[in-house]
Amino acid sequence: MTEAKKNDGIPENKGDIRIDYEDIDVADIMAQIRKKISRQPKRLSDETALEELSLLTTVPFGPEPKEAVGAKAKLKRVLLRIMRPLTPIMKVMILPVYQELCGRLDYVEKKTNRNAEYTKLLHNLSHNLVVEMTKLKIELENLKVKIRILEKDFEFLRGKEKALEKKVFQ
Amino acid sequence: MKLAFVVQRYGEEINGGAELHCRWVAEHMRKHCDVEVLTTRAFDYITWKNHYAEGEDSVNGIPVRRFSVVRKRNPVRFGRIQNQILGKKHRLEDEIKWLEEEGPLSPSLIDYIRTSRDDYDYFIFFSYRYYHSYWGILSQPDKSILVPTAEHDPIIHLKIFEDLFKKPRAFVYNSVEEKKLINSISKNEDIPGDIVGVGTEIPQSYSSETFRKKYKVDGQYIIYIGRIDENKGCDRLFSYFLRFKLQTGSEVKLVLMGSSKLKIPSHPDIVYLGFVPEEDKFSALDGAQLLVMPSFYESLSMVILEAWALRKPVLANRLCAVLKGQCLRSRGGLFYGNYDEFREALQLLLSSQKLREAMGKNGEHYYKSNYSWEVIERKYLSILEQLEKAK
Repeated sequence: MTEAKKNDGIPENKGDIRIDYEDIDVADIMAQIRKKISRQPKRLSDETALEELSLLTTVPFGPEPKEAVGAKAKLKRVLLRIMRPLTPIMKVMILPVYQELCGRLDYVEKKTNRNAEYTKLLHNLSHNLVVEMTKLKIELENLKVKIRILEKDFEFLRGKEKALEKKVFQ
Repeated sequence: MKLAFVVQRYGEEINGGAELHCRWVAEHMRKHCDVEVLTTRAFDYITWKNHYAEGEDSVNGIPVRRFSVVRKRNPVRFGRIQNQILGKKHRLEDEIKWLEEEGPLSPSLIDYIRTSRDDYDYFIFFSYRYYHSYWGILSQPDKSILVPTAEHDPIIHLKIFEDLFKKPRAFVYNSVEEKKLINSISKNEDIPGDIVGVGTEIPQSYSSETFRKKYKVDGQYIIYIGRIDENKGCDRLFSYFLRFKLQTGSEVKLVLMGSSKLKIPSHPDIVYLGFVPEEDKFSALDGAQLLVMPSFYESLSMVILEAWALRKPVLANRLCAVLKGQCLRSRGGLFYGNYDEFREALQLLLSSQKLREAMGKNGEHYYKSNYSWEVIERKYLSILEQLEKAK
């Protein structure tokens, strides 16, 4: 149904909100809005924090370090090519060297992976810290606003109380 | 019938609040009565420094008598005295001292009102909280009509005002909420009065296209017009608007017009234009999707009436009872009290042209039937007639 199309007085459903355009009831629309908000999971401030964070912490991460596997194979191929004329004899001599090199490469690979995991954990930790700080900041702002409103109400009540006291003692 | 309009400042250059309200009413009532304005020489509302020449003047054909302000207001001293009377136990004399500091301190204006009783049928005082209204009404209570322009701020609960609201012959209120507030403070329901408010002056020509070209604004935008400060709720508006954009990915812009006393966030979609000519203001309003009014304290938002006159819906702060009441009565706008409501209400209004049109139409109808100048003039005349009959 297009917006321009007449609805013949039948309330139209705008998303979750039903509106009778011929006889708009602001109180009813606001009640529906509040109902819609109450149905939503209590996540908005957190979600905002996360969204803000997603902007703040967009750090590009490269692919997993798989170069070690490729390097091992290449090294193996090069060594085998060099040794081709003397393959039968040299193979016996070279293979232990190759195995030692493989062992060293495995060690380097393990260390690299461990560092990558450690970096990931650090990243997650700082990410969570920023999330918590942002949530606290939002909470603080909300509380400030609430305090301001309460202060105003308090002032009003104080004035009222004074006026009432005066009336009582008069 | 001769009417004296008494107001703290008066001039064509003063284009806001109770002063503009007074000028427009005086200019319209000229059709029906002899009108004169009694005011001070002040232009600056912070210090009340004498600016205009003393004596007789004329503004748009209306005779104006200006009286000197004998002492400038010292904002620091004023703030200190106000804090003392609001926060602590105090005597009536302290409140009188506060009123003198509030100003504009012009005893010659009060002397003139006291000695010119027979020259005027009625004195119409604007803004209850200033020196001229308090002493002016006390000097001529039976000839006084008060246009309080009251907001829900703590000052209204001072004892001097509780007494003041029992003095005038009649009240001209801006809104139902203002009447309720004043009645609750002074129990003065027996004093006649009506909810009148003020109309607006719409320029003959305005165009959203001209505005877009002149100020290089493209795409959908919502607009805020008025003083940009914390009391008007602008800081919350900025934060809500930025969160709204972040969460919804909306491309809508926020255009701001008016003098700024607040740091405006630097964002490509927050467009601050400063103080603009009246015609540009209406052109901007014409091109906006809606007017947003985040203020906590309003006795009557003239800019909301202007938006409705141009068939624009509004999104107002429901923590201000007057704005909420106006939205409910007019059916011309939605309101919010927290971010969730702001997001949902704004999203709903932006997503439905049909809703904006329907609300704009309702607003226009409400404006025409309550705030057109014919209605305002009729209500003033009816109050005067009522007072004449009761003589």
